Amino acid sequence: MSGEKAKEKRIRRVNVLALLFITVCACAVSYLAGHMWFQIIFTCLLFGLMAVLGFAKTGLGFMAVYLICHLWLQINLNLGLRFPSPMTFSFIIELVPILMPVYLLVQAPSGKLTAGLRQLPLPTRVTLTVIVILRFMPSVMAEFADVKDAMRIRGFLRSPFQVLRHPLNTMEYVIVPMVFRSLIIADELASSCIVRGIENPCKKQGYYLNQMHPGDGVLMAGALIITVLFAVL
Amino acid sequence: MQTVIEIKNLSFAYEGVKEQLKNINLTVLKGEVVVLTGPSGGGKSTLTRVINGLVPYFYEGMLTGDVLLMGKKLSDIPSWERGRYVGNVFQDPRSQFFANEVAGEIAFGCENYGMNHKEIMESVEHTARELKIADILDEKVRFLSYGMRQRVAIASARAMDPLIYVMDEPSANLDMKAAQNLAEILLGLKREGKTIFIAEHRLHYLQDIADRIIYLRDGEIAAEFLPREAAALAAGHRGQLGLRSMTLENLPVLPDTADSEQDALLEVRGLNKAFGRHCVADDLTFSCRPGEVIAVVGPNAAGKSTLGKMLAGLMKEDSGEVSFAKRKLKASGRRGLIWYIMQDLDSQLFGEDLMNELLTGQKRTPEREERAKAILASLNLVEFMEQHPMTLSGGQKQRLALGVALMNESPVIILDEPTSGLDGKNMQNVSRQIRLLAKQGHIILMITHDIECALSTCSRALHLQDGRLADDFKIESAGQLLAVMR
Repeated sequence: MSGEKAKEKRIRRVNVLALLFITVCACAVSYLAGHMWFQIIFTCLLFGLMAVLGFAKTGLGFMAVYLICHLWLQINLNLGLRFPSPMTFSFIIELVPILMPVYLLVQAPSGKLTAGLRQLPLPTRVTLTVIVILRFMPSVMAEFADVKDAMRIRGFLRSPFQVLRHPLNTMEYVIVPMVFRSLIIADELASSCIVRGIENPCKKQGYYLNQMHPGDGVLMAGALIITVLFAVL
Repeated sequence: MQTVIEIKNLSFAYEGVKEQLKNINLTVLKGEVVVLTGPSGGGKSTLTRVINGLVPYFYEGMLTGDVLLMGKKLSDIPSWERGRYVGNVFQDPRSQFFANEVAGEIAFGCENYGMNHKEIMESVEHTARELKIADILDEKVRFLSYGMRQRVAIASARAMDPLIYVMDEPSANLDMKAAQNLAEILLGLKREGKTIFIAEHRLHYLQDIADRIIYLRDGEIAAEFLPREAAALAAGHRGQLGLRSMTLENLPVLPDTADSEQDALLEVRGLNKAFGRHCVADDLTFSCRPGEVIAVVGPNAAGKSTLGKMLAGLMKEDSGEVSFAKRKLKASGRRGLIWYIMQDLDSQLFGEDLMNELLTGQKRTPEREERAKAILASLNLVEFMEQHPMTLSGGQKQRLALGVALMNESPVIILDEPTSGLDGKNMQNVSRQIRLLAKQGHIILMITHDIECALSTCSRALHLQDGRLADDFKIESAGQLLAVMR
C-alpha cells in the first residue's frame, strides 16, 4: 500500500499541462516520425517516464503490446499474410505511444487536470469535453472488465481461436452492453454535474493549484526537442 | 414552520411515454424527512428529479403544475443556482462522481459556485472532518467500499450546505452497517434542520428518522403513512402494496426443504486468494447439497463477490480446491457449470430480444427454441418476448439472467445482490423463482445484504468476514441473521 501512496504522490507533483504537452508530442511523433526507430525510441522514453512516476508494470504492458504488434506486423509483411490485417497492427502501433501519456493524465487527480485546463485560453466547453472524456476512461475500462466476465461466463471467449473465427460476433457482444452502459453512465454523470452547478458561468477556482516546477519545464523542453528532431529528421 | 418545497397539481410525462406523475400535490416543511416509496416504475425517481430541477430541464417532457422551492418558482431559478438549495445523492455513486479522487469530488460543487481556492480547501476539510472521511481525501473513489462512496457522495452535497437534500435509493448497495451509518448521517442533518427527501425501497433504517412515508403508485400519491403506521401494516397488506418491511426483527423464516440425506455436490476446500497483501479468501471450506439456497452474507469488501467469481471460474484461486460431484475442477472447468450472475445486469445482456438472449452463443435448433420458450414461460416472461432485454425492469432482468443460466443447464447458480434496488413485490417474485429452481435440484448461492430476501429465500447462511468464513449456519430466526449482518 505504501508503494501505491508513493506513486500517487509522484503523479500529484507533476504539472498536468506537462503531461498534456507530452500527449500532444506523442501524437506528433506517432504520426509524423520519419523512421520507425524514432517512434520506438520515443515509446521507450515514455515507458521510462511511466516507470519513474511509478507505473512500470502498466508501462511494461503497453510496451509488450507495442513490441508484439511490431513483430507480428513484420512477420505478416515478410510472409505476405493478410490476416490479421496489417492495418490493425499499424493502428495499434500508432495508438500505444499516445495512450501511455493519456494513462498518466488519467492517474492525476481530475480536479488538478481541471485546474490545469482552466489555465489555458480554451473555451469552457472544450475544457469540459476533455475532462469528461478522461473521467469516462476508467469507467469504460471497469465496464469492459464486467462485460468480459459476462462473456466468459456465457462461453463467448472460450478460446482465442473462437474469437478469431467469429470476430464480428465477439465485437457485437462487447459493443452492445458497452454502448448501453456508457449511455446510462453518461446520463447519470451529466445530471450529477448539472445539479452541482457545472453550468454556472462564474469565474472558477479549484481545490488544487497546478503549479509549474523546474522539473515540469525540463520534461516539456525535453519532449519538445525530441519531437522536433524525430518529426523533422 | 417554513414551507420549503411546494408542489401544486403537478403532472409530468417523458417525451413519447405515458404520464409518470399525475396531479401531485405535496408540501414539505423545513426540517422534515419525507420518504417516497412504492412499486418500481411508480414515479419516485421522477419526483426527485422534479425537485432537483432535472425534470424537465435535462430529462425532457411535458410538465404541468407548479414547483416552488423556498417560495420561488423552480422554473425561474437558473439550472446552476438550484444546487445551492438542493443537494443530491444518487443511487449509484460510481456514475455520480465527477472527480477520480475524494477531495476533488467534495470540492466539485464548491468550485462551480465561485468559491476561491482557500474557501474551497476550508469547505472540503471541514466537510470531510464532519463526515469522518478526512483520512481518505487523497484516495481514489473507485477503490472505496460502497459505504464510503455513499459517504463521499453525501459530503459532496454537504460541502455546499444546501437546505434540502434529495436522495434516490441511497442504501441500494449498502450493507446493514453502512445503512445504519447512513441513518446516523441523515439523523445529524435532520437535527440541523435540513429537509430530506428520500426515494427508497428499504425502509427499516429510516424508521427513527422519517416524519412521513408517501406511497407513490402509477404516478399518484396513493397513501401516506406515519412510520409507526407503516410498521404496523399487516404482512399481507404490505405484500399487496409491494412494500418492504419497516422492522426486520420479526420477519418469518423459510422452512428448510432441502433433502438433508443427500450427499454434498459442491465442495470447497481451503480456498485462498489475495490481492497483494490484501487477503480476500482465507482458507474457505464448505459444501452444498442439491436444492440448498444459501445466503452469503457479510460486510462490503468481505470477499463475497470474489468467492462467487472464483467458484464460477472467473478468477483463479491462489490455492485450495473446488469439486463438483467428487470431481476436482480447475477454474476453466467450472465456467458454465457454476453460473455467476453479476450485480450489474446490463453488462451481461447481449440479445436483441428475450428469445435471442437465451439462444445467443448457441446453435439455434427447434428443440432449443422450444426449451427457451418453456424457460421464459416458467419465469413469467413470455409477454415480454419481443422486447429488448435492456427495456425490462430490474426484477424482470434478474429473472431473464436466471433464464440464461437455466438454458445453459448450470446446476449451481450464484447470484450477486439479486434484489438490490427492487421493491417488495419484485423481491418476492425473484425469491419465489429462486426457491423453484432449488426445488428442481439447483444449488443456489445468493450474495446479499438484503435480509428480507435472505430470510424469504435461504435456509442456510455463510458469513464471511475479512475473507474468512466466520460462520456457517442454518437460519433459524431473523434475529440470528441480523446479528451477523449488522
